[in-house]
Amino acid sequence: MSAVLSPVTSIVSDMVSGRTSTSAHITAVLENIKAVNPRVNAFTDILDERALAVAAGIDRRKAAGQKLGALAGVPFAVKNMIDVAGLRTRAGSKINSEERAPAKRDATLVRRLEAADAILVGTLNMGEYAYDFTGENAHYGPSRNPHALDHMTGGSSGGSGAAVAAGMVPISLGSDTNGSIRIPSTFCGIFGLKPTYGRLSRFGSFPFVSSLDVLGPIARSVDDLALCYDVMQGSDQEDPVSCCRDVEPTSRLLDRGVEGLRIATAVGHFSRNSEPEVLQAVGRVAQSLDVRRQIEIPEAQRARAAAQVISAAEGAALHLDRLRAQANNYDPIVRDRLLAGAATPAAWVIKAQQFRRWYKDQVLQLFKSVDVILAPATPCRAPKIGQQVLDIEGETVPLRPALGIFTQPISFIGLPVVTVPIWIDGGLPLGVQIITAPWREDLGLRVASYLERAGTCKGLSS
Amino acid sequence: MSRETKQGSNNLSVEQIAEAALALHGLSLSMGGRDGILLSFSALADAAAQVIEFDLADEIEPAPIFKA
Repeated sequence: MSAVLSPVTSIVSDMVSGRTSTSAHITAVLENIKAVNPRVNAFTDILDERALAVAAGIDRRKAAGQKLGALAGVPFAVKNMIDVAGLRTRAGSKINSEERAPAKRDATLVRRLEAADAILVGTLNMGEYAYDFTGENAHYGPSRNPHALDHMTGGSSGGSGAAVAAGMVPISLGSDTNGSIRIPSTFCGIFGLKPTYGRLSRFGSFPFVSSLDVLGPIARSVDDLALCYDVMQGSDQEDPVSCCRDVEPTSRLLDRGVEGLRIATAVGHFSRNSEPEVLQAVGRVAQSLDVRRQIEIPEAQRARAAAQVISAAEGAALHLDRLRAQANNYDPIVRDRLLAGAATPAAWVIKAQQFRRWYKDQVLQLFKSVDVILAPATPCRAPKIGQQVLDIEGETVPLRPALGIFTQPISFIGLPVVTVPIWIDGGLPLGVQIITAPWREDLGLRVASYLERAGTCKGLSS
Repeated sequence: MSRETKQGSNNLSVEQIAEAALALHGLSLSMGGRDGILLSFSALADAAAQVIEFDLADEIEPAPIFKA
């Protein structure tokens, strides 16, 4: 296995032992990115100068006998709605890339990863203003699924999924409002963590729907996912919704297995509305975990509807000035959705927020009798780029909104989710959501690790 | 394109409603693709109808800033 494709722990071991210089390693990483990126269109900025300067600094500290961080020499890249000092934070848009002032400093999560000696190598393609599920972008072109280049990565963190799946970086950061980490992780066959709302700082990221937005990692293995997540934890006074919880490390808990965990499979909304192999994937995970219990999340479809209303209204409110001044500079599909959101009556939003409170109370009740809920991540495998509709159970529906059918009812109340990749029938990957109560990311990661060790789900370093 | 919702029938078309609401923000349907906007707005109206038809107690506090 090349250094570029090594697990995070191997990279760190090589850097700490001095078997490889960090500068040489990062040079190889950058060369690989430049060789691969033209095929998958994951990166929008490659940060050679910055990355090599940080690598040289790590080499100097190593030579001076100083201790290196937990992610020494590990390259990472971030969705281009996350601030990087000196760059205009594009958020997938033409407007920001031309008019937004360059960021004065790095986002909190970038700073925390670099404080652990990880190395930022670039920023990543995404759907414009995160208002998509496909990974397509009218300005910068679609990110392409490394497993089938004419297929979608999923979005909106499409570049984040493609960069990891293509072996360009072992970890990336994405954001998830209605499914934007979980959908690309699924379509690209890798692991994703959507943390509890408020768990990880969002400071220095361009918002979409503030009451739903979270940032989180995408990785090739559960170990890598947990290592990355652990160093990013901790409250941040600069993000008003950041939690005040202590850091709760998960990496050391991954080998605890699943014995004693109460796990159920979601049915009802989550056992309809999908292609048959999607449910096969969930069944395979349930079988591996010896799960027989089923549970219904009440009113999940209505929760999805409420999430759509809130997303449309909050998202549009953020863009009113830009829509007035330069509607033509948006991706037309995004623009039309934002304009529709701008027309949303306040009463719809308030009712949706009221329903949100009710729904949260109902779902949290479920977690008194279960620890983990399994559900599909997407209704289908990665569609072809440009595909507009989806045929599900004999009905033809618009593709874009349908991709969030299983993710929206979960993020609507801020629950943490780990998505695991499932490969069946030799086709493109599928994904399963491992859903837990708020702040119990540790349980989701434990279950994911168990499934990975059992061979039920396979990332790209398994 | 007229619409009858569970919130009650109205005599305004979706197009008229959207145009009037957008005008309050200094926006208009002509700033985008009229059909695309109306399609999205209709989908939102359908989604909102699902929420509004659900019987909730008056005392339930809306969650403008959600805390998990």
